[in-house]
Amino acid sequence: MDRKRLIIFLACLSLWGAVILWRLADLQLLSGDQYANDVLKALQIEIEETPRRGMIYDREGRILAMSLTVPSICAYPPFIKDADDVASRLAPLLKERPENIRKSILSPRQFVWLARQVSPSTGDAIFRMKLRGVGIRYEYKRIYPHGLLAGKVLGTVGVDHHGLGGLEYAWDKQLSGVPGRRILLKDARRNDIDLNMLVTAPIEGRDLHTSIDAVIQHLAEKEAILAAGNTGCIDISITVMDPSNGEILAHALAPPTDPSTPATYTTNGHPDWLAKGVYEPGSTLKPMVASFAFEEHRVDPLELINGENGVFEYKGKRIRDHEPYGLITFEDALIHSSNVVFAKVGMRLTPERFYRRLQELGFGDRTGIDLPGEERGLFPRYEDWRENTPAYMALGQELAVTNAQLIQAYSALARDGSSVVPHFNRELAPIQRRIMDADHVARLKMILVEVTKRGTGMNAALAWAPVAGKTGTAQKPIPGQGYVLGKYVSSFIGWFPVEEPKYLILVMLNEPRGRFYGGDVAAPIFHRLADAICIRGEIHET
Amino acid sequence: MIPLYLRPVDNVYLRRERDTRVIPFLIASLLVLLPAILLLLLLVHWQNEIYKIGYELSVLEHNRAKLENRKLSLLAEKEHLSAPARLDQLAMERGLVPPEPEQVVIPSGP
Repeated sequence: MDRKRLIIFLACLSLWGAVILWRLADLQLLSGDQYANDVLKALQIEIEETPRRGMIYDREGRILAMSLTVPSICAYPPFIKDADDVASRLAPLLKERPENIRKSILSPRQFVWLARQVSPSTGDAIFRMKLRGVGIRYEYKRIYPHGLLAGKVLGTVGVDHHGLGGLEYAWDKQLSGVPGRRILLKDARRNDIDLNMLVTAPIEGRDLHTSIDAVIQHLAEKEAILAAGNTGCIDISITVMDPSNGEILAHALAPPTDPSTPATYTTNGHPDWLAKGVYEPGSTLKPMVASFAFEEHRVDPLELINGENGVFEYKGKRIRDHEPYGLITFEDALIHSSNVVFAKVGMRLTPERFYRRLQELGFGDRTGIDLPGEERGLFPRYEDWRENTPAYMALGQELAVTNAQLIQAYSALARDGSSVVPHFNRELAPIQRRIMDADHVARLKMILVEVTKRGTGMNAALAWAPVAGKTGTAQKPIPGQGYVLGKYVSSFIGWFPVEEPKYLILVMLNEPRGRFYGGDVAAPIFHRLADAICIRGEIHET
Repeated sequence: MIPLYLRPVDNVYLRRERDTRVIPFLIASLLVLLPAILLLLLLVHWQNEIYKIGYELSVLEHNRAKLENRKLSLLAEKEHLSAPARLDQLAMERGLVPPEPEQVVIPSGP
């Protein structure tokens, strides 16, 4: 009997042992991986490791944009027991109403952001509070050490640290780098334990070396802001390019744009005027028309043409000059910007060839400037040209251009006939294209120097060097109303030194109040800026 | 109380002597086990060292990142302080004005 009981006891014991062994085997061998994964899931979190965004430099190595790590405050709502207490303690530090923080904390989600990119001192203060369920994540913040300088050109980045506009957007792929993956372990309070467990290392963004010269940019912006105040214009754009290689040294806009606040950047409402924003060029197109007329042998620079005393009726429309001219040489017509003479010369050109030549100059097509969303401008197809289109187009009407197109076309005049694509990235090789005959360009250069000596651009003349340039005053067409009196785009574009040019400057004012001729409002800005650049350039080179 | 194995044996028929037959087995066992134990201890030590160095690395990496960030902050501050717009503003506040082109004299040659 005892032996039988002993056997039953041993059998039970063996069975119990077998069950335990089976369970152990199940836990350790059969389902071990799954349980281990479940535990890891609860303890660890895999996050994207944002790479440091590349810096943006000016041509002298000054830092225009850089990224710093700053703390952001987050919460794990399931781990917060007293939402009211946490909210009331965080509110003064985050400068937020307690009820808003409480609302976030009571969210049904596992993770919520309470404040992004706070100051390091705020982050330290919250860290020291050791609030259960409140965490600190470090994120990159984009800093623009020069403040508003070149704000519109540089662009801005969003909280995800990707470009939203300007060069930040255009070169986002290069600047962003490639994100990596990192594992963070969590303790019981859901605090991060960073054991530096990188799954894949992030690849840092590459720096962008721009052609911008911060000093020239500042000088241009100073002039732009001053001129915007004096003229009351809607906005003003000043672009300085090195015509020898197409590098843009400065692009100033007024009103200025703050790149550090994406919300105001994206809702600014003012175009950059270089790639976006088009307008009729007006008389600044006349040198191009003159070059076509020379090429086609339709006019001689010294040919006398009747200026009709300033009023010329053509196909039922009146073309007027700002001053009455009688018989005037074609050369003088360009110097004094006679609309009547240019309308007549425009009529002499073969329309189809005129159309093709304007196309070759780059009008109606993107220049390829490295700014996002470049517009093509408005350039009617040849099939849509009317009988009087060549006459009006010769005055710079019936087409609309971007400033990038205009400086590209003028670079051909400054460079003996070959144009260059304007650009900001210094790593880009200059793209050049011969579009004008060198002999005609040489003649035009001499005429354009006269423009600033005795023509409409006298206010742009410099005491220390000749300047070649052309004024432009274009009436603004308003959709449904046509050309409206009192709304003008005034401009001046010119370069110096005339031979071997270093600076090509385009000044454009949108709807100046009071005086509106390009020679009166844009040319003086060119003069002041050129003086400032020269003084700085001479000192800099010495 | 004296342990059992040290208690004197009073029985004249019993004699305490070494079992020399198991000595080779004991030595062999010791020779096999000792390196294994030493290896185990070494492995544990290595593992500890790896963790220790890992933590130290982590701390150093953290410090490096902090210093790198500090360096960048200082660079940003330097850039801000030397920004042309700021210098221009400071110069104006001190009554300085840009020179006219004819006022600039560039010394020629050495």
